Amino acid sequence: MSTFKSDATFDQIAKVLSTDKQLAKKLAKQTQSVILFHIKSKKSSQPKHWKLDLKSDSPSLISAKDNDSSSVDLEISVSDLDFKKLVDGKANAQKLFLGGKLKVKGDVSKAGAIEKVLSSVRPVKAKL
Amino acid sequence: MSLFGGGSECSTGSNPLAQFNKHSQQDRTLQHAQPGSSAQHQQMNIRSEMAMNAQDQGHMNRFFNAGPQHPAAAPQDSFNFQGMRTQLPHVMSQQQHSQSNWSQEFHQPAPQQMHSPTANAWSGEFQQQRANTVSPLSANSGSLMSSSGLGSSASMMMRSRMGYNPMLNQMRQSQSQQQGVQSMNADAQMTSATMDASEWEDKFKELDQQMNQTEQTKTEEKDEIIIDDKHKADFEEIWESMKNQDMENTYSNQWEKDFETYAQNRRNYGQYSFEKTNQFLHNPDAYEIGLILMENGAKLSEAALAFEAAIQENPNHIEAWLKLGEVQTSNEKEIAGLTALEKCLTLDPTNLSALMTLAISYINEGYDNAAFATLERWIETKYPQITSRARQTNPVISDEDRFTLHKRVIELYLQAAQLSPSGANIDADVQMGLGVLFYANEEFDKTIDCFKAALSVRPDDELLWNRLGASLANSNRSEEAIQAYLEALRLKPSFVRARYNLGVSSINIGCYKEAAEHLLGALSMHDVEGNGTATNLAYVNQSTSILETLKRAFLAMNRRDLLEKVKPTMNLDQFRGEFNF
Repeated sequence: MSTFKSDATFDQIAKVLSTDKQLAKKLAKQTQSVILFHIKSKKSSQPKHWKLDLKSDSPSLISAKDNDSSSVDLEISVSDLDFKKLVDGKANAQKLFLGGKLKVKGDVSKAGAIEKVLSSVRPVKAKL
Repeated sequence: MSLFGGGSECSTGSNPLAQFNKHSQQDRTLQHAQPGSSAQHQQMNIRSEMAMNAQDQGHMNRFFNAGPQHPAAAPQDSFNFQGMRTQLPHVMSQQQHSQSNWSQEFHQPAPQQMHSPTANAWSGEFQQQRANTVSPLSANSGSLMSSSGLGSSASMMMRSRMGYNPMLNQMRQSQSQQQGVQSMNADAQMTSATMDASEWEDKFKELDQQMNQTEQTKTEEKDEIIIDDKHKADFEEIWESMKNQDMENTYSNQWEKDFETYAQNRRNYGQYSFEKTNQFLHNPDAYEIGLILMENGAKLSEAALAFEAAIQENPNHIEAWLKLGEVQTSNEKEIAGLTALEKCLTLDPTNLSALMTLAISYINEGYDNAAFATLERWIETKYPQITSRARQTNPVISDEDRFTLHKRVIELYLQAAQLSPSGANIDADVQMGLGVLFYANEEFDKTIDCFKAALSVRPDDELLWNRLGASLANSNRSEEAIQAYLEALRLKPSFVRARYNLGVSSINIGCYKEAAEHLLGALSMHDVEGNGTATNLAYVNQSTSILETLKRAFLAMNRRDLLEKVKPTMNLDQFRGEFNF
């Protein structure tokens, strides 16, 4: 059992990217960037790293190594819990950023793409 | 108030007392101008006046007590005067607003008095100038805005009152001149903006003449300019908000303002788009047919078409807009429903059903503030005694953030709910509103209580069952939610939203195939018979939420082949072999 709550989300993003080619191509076309996530958890001394490739012809998300920042446009550091909140729509990336809970390195303008990726795995809400 | 006129010992040029004096004297002149009407006015608006006076009195007392006794403490006291300064315009504008019987007369001298002292020399002439120019201008400004792309200056005007900012009027005039005779170039505008008072005077005379000359040409021109509907609407919006800005200082309006600010200033969905093919078109009984279709449990899309036809026959059919809005939201076409309901409310601003349904749509779309403001208007319409009492105890609204707005509105609903806490007298709509307010704050347990209370009065309301289900689903009680949805569908099998929600809950508990079946079933409800088969779903008003959720279900099933088939124009029959819907 993984100590990272975000693992399931990343697995799902990877699945969406590999299954929904239409969406993946659209995202890649819009963003043209490679994004590296650093996820920290209190339960683990070792942070996890994910590389979201929205540049190549077949966009993908793979588990990465920390120093794997070659050809990366943007790096995002966030805690496991905050990432979960982000995915569930309970937190807002801008607010996390302003609160210092989300750190960004690189081309910030590319960060807008993440919202789109996350909304594709966000749980669907029932309607009143 | 002329007490201060004599100049107190601490009055200096920079003393705010001087400012206060100015305001108070202005206020006084107004009273003199219409001595007879003030008694009437008092009667008309006794409540808010009292509240005002009490406030004013507080400041006055503070001034009298503190001022003479501590002349050395003048700097601190200046804060009090500042307070008065801000109070006095309120008094003024309140009078302006409430005394409708003489407000027209008042309106003429008012802008003059708002001018800064430096402008006094030429303000009289300016007034004349304005009186001359204002009528052709306002008649023409619709076309002005659209054709000369005055978007930004329009928003500037929004912030300044009419006649308050002479500079702006000058700009406006020069732009209209440009329109009319094209004799002024941009250069002239710039220089005119920097001219001093005496030059202004000359300029005005010059403009006046030009104006008279071009008036004729402009009125002719006006007829030729085809005003784009959208721009016209823009202008009307700006005009509305201009008026609202004018009233902003009055306390009673501060309450009403919420609706303007939050409900009307959010993203605009524009006009309702009608379906292109509609078999009910030009049928004089379309509205009645729609009602019968709803009664008989026909497809909601069909009923929607009937109401659309009724509206296309008579665009001011309030009931038809309301029914259309209700049908489209139940039909899981939120945006279409929203626009229809907004249209209904522009025709009838206090339509209770439309307000409630619209508030719920806003919540679904994430426009919480708009929803709160809409709910506030609802309770204000249905329970005026509660809102007026609340306003009396708390006339000043200071903060306008989401939290305080929510708190204030929920307080009103709680008071309304306390009028009939139990038994058959429960107002189900109050409970519903309260539930929605709790829902917005994710207090789902309270929401569920409210909806259950409402259901105890109206057990056959399928909308309530669905809302109960949605609250259960969003608090991770999917199994119970499904029971509620099934009850809603038992009451009304054509209720697309409940079917959609059922699909969502099925996904959440991992039953993807069932989810897909429910969602496909929901989509099939959008098919209207007799429209052909292949292009069944090529409607103007699509439900993207159903398609997106269907994709989720297929994704979870690892069915890439099916996923690729999901398109707005897909033929549902291709799924029939595998899915039972």
